[in-house]
Amino acid sequence: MGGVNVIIEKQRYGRNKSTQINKTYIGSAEYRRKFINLTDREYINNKIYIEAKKMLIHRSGTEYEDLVFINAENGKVLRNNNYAESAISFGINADEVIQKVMPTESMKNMLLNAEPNIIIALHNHPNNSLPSLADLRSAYKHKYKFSLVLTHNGKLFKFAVTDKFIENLADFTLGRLEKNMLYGDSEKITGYINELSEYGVILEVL
Amino acid sequence: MITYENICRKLGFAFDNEKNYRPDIPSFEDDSVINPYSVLNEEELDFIGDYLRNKPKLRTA
Repeated sequence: MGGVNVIIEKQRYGRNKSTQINKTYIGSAEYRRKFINLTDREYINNKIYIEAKKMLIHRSGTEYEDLVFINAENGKVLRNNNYAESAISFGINADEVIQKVMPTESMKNMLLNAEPNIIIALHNHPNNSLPSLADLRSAYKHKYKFSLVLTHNGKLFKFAVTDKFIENLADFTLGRLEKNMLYGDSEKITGYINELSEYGVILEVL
Repeated sequence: MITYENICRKLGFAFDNEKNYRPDIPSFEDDSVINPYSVLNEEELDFIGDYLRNKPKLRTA
């Protein structure tokens, strides 16, 4: 009996009603339009859209994250949609795997074998937050073509990190932006997004 | 009173440390830590903004 309870508890862990997606919106033409100009190749944009929808549906109602790499030249796709479950099965505490995700070994190899600015990285943010400092560091270190954060409330944050990256200034400006995103001051939001580009972070809110 | 020391204490790190900024934050997709600046009020954020703008910038990343 105790064993059954443990299993049920593990299944419940990481589930959170506030992170449920609006399936109607995610399936809408309005949401679809956010993807049509992400790159100059329709084929890649379609792949990104398909992977984004799969990811959001998979992680709806949870605090777990998935990660997808798409090679923008040949269209190859690799995913880690099992990070949390896999880590828990290896004995890692469930509260240590929420709101984070790492690439699989084959994804790491994909990064190693790709030229800079070829890999597009997608991951979800169950709590709808802006890219984190860790996200910026990852994009900079792995030289992604760009990263796409998919929030569970239907926003897309597309960002790239350039050689002009200044970590503390970018982190501080993201903090200010995050506060203003809550209150919806569009003038300030635009100002902080412009400021971020001075610190090496090219951010678009879609 | 808003001072450099008080803000650093509240944040838990030196916000102007460009060479070793928040070393506890990894280089992979980890969103489990909220942006620490979100705990500060507008006056404190303005103080940091002014402080950082008036400091010569080092490109360390």
